[in-house]
Amino acid sequence: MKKQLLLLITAAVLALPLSAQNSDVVYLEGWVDVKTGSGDISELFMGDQVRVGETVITGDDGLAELQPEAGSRIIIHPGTVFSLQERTVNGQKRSVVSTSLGSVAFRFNKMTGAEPDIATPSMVAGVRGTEFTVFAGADGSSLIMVESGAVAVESQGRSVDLAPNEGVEVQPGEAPGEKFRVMRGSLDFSAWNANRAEEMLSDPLLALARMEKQLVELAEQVQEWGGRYEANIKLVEQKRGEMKTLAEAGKEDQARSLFTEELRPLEVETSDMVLNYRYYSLSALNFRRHVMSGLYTRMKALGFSGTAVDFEGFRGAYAALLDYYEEMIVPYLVAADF
Amino acid sequence: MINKAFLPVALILLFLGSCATVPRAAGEEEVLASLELISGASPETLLASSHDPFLLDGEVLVGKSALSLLWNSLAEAGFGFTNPVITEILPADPSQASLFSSSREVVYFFGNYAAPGSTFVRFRSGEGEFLLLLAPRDKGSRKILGWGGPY
Repeated sequence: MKKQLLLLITAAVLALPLSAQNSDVVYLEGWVDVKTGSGDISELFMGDQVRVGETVITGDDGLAELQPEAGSRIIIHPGTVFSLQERTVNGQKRSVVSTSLGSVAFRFNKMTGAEPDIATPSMVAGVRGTEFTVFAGADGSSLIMVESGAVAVESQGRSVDLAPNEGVEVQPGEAPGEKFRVMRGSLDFSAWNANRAEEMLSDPLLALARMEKQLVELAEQVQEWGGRYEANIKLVEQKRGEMKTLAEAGKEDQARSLFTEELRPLEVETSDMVLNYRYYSLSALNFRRHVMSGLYTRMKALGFSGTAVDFEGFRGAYAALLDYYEEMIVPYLVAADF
Repeated sequence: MINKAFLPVALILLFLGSCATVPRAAGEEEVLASLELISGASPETLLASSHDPFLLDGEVLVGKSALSLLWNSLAEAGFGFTNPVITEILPADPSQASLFSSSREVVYFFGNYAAPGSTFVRFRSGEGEFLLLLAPRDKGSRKILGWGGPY
């Protein structure tokens, strides 16, 4: 069943149309890689195009500037993992730009109403502004600062509206905190991230519990959309069978009517479901690979030096969370994702 | 008309030719050199000597920043292998994935990156028993593909 499901997923994903969200690479510095939808990792070059489903990974000295449309810029700073994704909200396809780790500055030339949603592991933001910066920290927390325009930051069902020179921090699995005043250029990502990492390592079990909350939230979305997809695909098969029977009986008009009124809408709905569980399962993969792995790496090193706080307790809790990830998320990923 | 006396010679040449193109696993000297590198080289050298992606226990580290974090964190922790003794060197194969982790992620890592010519090593040091993976030789050198332990 799982194998069949994966084949259907692959076919459905391949059938998805290309989006206008693809972005041109207009400036590069240092080492920058791109992970393609087929799973290949290669160096990114000036003039390349980053497509939906692809992830840009900048090294400690790397910087990439993307142009999603004339006049707009997405500046991906060093040490960042940034993806172009898609999902549907209320039946409408939405572009999502996700920062799993690191910092990204957004400059939109003009507001067209088709701006992407901005996501990090701990929040989603709707753009109503033109200049803002997103930080995604080592512990899965986020910080968003608005320079001009407005941004609505949402997490755990709570929304905070940010005006120019305002910022807000969001802990993984938590609602946004209180917004604060911030002046342009006054906040340094490295210093903020170092503080997040230090706090994370001072209580790794608390940090892991927060990460678990975030992962559970993603897993619930994966399960919901995956479950709806499995139910829908059975209906699609049933309707296809009915249509074939009608066509074989020479009832062409009824077959055509069944297709336009029932089967086609069902197929579109099913494709949206694939889009959504792919979005959430890939978000979970990025979270596991770039945030959870970072905590594990740091804790392993501290374990060798004998300075890790409750290393054995951490290892047990981490292994349990990986088991959960393996059971709830991995069945919805395909070979190329790894 | 082929000279029948030439046939065995041709077969031997063909065999030797094919041997030259089959990538070989690392020998003991190469493995020891890699262990010395992990224990003593700078994070920058280790970053340049590491395969990307990289396997650390059950974690697949992707990107230069993740590798930089690994080697810098280990350097700060004063990590190194004390008196390593190699107990096993084998060509890497997918069956060894489960020694690192039972996750599908690691199975795919082996499937994608433990190509012919890559090497699986088991060794013991003052810190315990470890596993090491070396990538196939490329342009005269081998990158570190991953390691796990202590077990």
